[in-house]
Amino acid sequence: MSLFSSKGQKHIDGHKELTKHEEIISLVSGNNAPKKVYFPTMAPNGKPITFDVKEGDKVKVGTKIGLRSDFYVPIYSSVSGKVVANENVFSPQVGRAIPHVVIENDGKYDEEKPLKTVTLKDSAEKIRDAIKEAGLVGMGGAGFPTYIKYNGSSEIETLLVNGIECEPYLTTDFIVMQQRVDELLLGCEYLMKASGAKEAIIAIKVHKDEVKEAVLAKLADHPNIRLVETKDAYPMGWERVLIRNIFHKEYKTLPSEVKVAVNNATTVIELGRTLSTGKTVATRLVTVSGNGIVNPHNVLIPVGTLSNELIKVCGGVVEGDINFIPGGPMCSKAVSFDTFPMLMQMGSITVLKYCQATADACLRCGKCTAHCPAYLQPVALKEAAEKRDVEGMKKYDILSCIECGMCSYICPSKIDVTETIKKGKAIVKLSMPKK
Amino acid sequence: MAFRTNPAPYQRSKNSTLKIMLILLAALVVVWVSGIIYYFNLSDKINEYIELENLELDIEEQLPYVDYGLKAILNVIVAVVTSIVCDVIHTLCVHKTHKNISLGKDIIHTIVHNYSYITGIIFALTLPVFTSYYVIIVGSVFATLVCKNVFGGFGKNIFNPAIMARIFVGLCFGSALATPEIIQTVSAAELAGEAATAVGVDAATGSTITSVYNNSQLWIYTTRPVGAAVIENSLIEGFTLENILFGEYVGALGETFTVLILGLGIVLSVLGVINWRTPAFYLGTVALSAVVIATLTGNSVLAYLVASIGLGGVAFGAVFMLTDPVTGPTSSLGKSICAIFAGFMTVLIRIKGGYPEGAMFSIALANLISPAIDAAIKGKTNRHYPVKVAGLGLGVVIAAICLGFMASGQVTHIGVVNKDGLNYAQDAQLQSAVALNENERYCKYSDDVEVGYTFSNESTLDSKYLVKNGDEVVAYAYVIDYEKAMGSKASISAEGYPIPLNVVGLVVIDKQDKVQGVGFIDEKMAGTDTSYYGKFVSEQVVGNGQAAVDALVCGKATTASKSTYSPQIIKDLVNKAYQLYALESK
Ligand code: SF4
Ligand code: SF4
Repeated sequence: MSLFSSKGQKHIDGHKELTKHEEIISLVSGNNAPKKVYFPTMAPNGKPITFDVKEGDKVKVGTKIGLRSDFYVPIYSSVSGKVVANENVFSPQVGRAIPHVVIENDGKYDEEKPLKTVTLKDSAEKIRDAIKEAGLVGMGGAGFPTYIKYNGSSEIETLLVNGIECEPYLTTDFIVMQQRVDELLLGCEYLMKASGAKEAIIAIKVHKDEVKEAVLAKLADHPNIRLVETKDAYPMGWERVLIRNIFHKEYKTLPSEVKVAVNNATTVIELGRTLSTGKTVATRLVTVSGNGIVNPHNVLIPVGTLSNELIKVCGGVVEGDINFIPGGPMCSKAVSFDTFPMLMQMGSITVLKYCQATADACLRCGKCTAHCPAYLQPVALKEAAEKRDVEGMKKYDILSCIECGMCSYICPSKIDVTETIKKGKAIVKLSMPKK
Repeated sequence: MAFRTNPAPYQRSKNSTLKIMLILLAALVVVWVSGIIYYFNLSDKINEYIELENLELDIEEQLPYVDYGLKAILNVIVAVVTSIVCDVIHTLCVHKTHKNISLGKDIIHTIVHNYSYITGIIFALTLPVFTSYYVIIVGSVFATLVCKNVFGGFGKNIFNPAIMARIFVGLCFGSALATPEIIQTVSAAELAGEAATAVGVDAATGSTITSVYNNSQLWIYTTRPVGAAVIENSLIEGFTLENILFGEYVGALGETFTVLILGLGIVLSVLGVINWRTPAFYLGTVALSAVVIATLTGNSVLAYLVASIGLGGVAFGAVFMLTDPVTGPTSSLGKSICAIFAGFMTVLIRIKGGYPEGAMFSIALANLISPAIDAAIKGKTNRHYPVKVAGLGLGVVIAAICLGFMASGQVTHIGVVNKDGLNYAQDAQLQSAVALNENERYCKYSDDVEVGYTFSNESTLDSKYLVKNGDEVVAYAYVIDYEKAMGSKASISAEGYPIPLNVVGLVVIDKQDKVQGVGFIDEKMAGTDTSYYGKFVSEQVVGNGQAAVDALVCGKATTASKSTYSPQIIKDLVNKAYQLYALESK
């Protein structure tokens, strides 16, 4: 009920039809296959990734080439070929050009011998280890290492598979979930076993009938898995909103507080595949869409392909000023380079025609407050942030902001509320004593 | 081609402030057009009447005819143009500080995005159509320059400029807002029944322009501190509740069309232009208070409800002024609290204060406390949710009950019986008594114009009313001090109104709601057909009256509770007392 609190969600135009039924372009083989793939030497949080290959080394698809330094996340090659000299390329995650390990693609896709496979009969412990070894990160965009959610430390009752895809334009989950139902359900079973969850819920938005039919057709063999449809609203894909909608529960920091573990659908699918076959993630589907793209399509690429190659096969970008966004238009920040590697967690490139919004004065309408999914008061946060009033920002709970972009989206005066709050957040974080 | 790195998100809602304001403008124009149509029709009727009666217009302007329709159009245009001119002047003054924009663009931007045209139209709609142009101009300048631009323009003002301007001109130019004589002339003639046909009264409803007009004046300009605000609203001959709801009376230009305004409010809420909580909680508080007050004072709940919402610009304020986002709290909770507060103040000013701008004052006060409400609502909006819902619900109920008791504390009754066939309203309680007879209609006399009747000992009176009872007109008065009222002379006179009031008796009910006596007019004392005198509550009459009461009510009427005086009992009481008196005098 949202009589006095925020609605917390809002239907927004998804523009999914642009790529939903388009054919998939494959860059994995053929003439358009990338000549080189890139692996950053820094994790999104800025922590280094150590690579144990050097120039000239031969690698195959699935060869372990590096390891993240803070969490145990092995990095596997996505192509077969030769390691060449490091190159500095732009990294949208880090926000600047950083050295990348470069592998020259020989186009043969020779495969490394697979990882140890596990079956559902194996112990939870063993499955958890396999997940850890698979090097999976959240493929919905967060890039958070998957195994951490399943370390067995907290009791989980329900596994929630997030197939919502609430960012406009994105359709990869929609397509992959239709095509790879078996792996999806297998992934669910593995994760249920690993976490001890009694049931799994696959959540999709309404009107995704293709996915619904495909999944329902195979659910008969999986009594503990069910499909749930949610409203078509943004940001339904945010764990908190999804759990609020499905379980009508709130939690403080982690979904495990309400005994739920949430995973993105594509991640679950890849997990099903990797655990059962031992093959690591080498390709992923990327939505290249937006009114700034001549021919929007979904493109299948080897992980690490440069973004401009995807743009090229989609007919390039339109004339005039554009926003080039490595991700969806709501949360991701536009960059000023169109050449950066597409990592495992990056499921989309959105290019939009730039349109200048004329900002009005804030009319204090409270629409932002009425829609913030974190139940914050963006207008109050904005005012405090403009005054750099740290105490005020803390009182209004600025650190709970998830930067979903809803407040800016909804603002009739076209004020960059989210951006102002982001800046305020940085100020508050700086003012806090280092732990 | 360039890569733009303006901040996320890149998809924005199609809604914009300009769009919101233009929809609001459209809604206001609908109200305006209704006003224009109404005043064109009214002018026609008045002109017809002037011609028919060959009236010498004794008014300042000496107009051969009136044209309020045109005035209704021009009022708004004058206000809007003035507001825009103010914006231009303001831009000329501050343009220096606006770098990198040319003067022309600056001016256009200011005009479009300062939304003073909205302020202008709202302001003009809150004024009576008769308002002089200079008042409108002064008010508009005050609104735009002083109340808006000085604070930094749209989005920064603390008070709703239109409301401040309305209060300002109300206080400074009160007389300029008064009714022109022609309306009063027609009014008097109509009350006399002469003009009814001449003015083209709608036969179906029997409503006349001016009686209707009088009614609104009574509410708007003479809100009195009597417990029953509805008394102010007692309906004039042929004036029905529908007349109030559909704006068929003369009030402020745009404030009278209650149903239309509420309908627009729903449309605007659905379109997301206004937050429905504001009008809902405001009107809810006013309505609930009305129900409580009406119940506690024994009024007709429906009539009181309709009058409370329908008169005095409450609906207009709820939909178009209190909802102004700039001057209200931002959160839904804050808006709700603010609306309840405004509703409480509106009713409070009505029952305890005497300002015609009651609703306006309450909204200005709500503006004043908005920043405090905002500051008080910290943190997340979903915290303590049940507490908030319960608290607000409780707030509305408590507000209503407080107001109800404040209003009802002052009510006592006296009745005066009149044999005349004309029908006059009444005390609230007796309104329903009158309603017992379907053929009867109501009318009300205002104390201010001193028609009705007078008491020789005025200081003992709280208020007084006339009510029709069958063929007789009963006048009721509230006494403050019964002891002093004893022996007072009641004088029924029509003062300029050729209404024969055949007063035959008085029923006295004191503050404790005890019937103290029934008095009757000595036929010998009857004067001309415009004035009758009677001795009020003489010793021997008390006896008779008391006997009647005792017989009728509960044997010992002196201990009867208020609820004992149902409309029927009062009616019977008066009849019985009259019969007894008639028997005795034979
Ligand atoms: S960006 Fe932050 S403040 Fe704005 S709506 Fe999202 S969570 Fe709320
Ligand atoms: S939505 Fe925009 S205009 Fe409305 S209160 Fe929030 S910031 Fe201000």
